[in-house]
Amino acid sequence: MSGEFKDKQNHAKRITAAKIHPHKILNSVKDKNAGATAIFFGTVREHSEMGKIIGMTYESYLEMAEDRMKRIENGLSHKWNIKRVRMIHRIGNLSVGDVSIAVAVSAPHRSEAFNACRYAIEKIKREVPIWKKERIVGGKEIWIKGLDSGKRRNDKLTFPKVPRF
Amino acid sequence: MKRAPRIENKAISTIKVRVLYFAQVREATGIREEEVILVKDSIVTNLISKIEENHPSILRLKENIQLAVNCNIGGKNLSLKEGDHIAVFPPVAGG
Repeated sequence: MSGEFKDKQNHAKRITAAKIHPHKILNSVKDKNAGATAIFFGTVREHSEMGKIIGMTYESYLEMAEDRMKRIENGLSHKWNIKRVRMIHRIGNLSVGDVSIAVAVSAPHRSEAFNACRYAIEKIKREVPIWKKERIVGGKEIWIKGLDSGKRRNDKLTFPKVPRF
Repeated sequence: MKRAPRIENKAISTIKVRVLYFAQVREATGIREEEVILVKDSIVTNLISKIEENHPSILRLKENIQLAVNCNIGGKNLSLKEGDHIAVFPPVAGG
C-alpha cells in the first residue's frame, strides 16, 4: 500500500483512556473516494452471565497493543481496497453503555468496508493485549476469559467465516 | 542459580530482564513488573521456571499464560538477552 495510507493513520492513539466519540470516528475515515463506510462500536452491556454489572474495567499492555493495532490496520490495506481505517480501544473504568471499541473503515464499495471492518474487530479480539473485568453489582469483580482460554497457548487462531456478498 | 554450570576461576555472567505482569497474572503475583536476573544464554523456559519459583501463585494459571518478548509472542526456546522486556499475561480479551 502507498505511504500515504500509512501516514494518515499513524498520528492518533489507538489505545486511550478518553471517551470515544462516534462522530469523531466517522470524520476520521472520511475520504472523497469512499462510497461506503462501515463502523463497529463495542459497548458495555448491563447483563452478563454473572448478573447485572455496573461497569467494565479494561487494561492493556500499551506498547504492544498499539503495535498490534497498527499491524492489523496495515494488514487490512493489503487485503482489501480500502481508503481509510480508524481503530480505537478504550481502557480504564467504563460504565454500562460506554463505547469500549470503535473500528471504522471507508472504502469505494460496501463489501470491502463491511468485510474489512468485521475482520479487524475479530483480529483485535484475538491479538491485541487487552483484558477486561466485569464489575458486578454487589462488589464482585470477574475477569472475562479470552477467546482462546483453555487451549494450548501455541494453538493457531481460527476465524469465523466472514460472509461474502 | 542452583542449576547454573560451575565454571572454575570465572564469574558466571548474568543478564537482567524486565518482566511485566498483566490482568489475572498481575493479580496473582501482586506486582506489575520486576527485574529478574538470569544466567547468560537463558531461554524463555528458564525464565518461566524462575517466575514460577518466585510466584507459585501463578501456577494455577499456567495453562492459560502467554509470553511476549519485546512485544512479540515467542517460543519457549527463544534466547533472552540483557534488557529484554517479557510480558506475562492470560489470553487477550479485548473488545
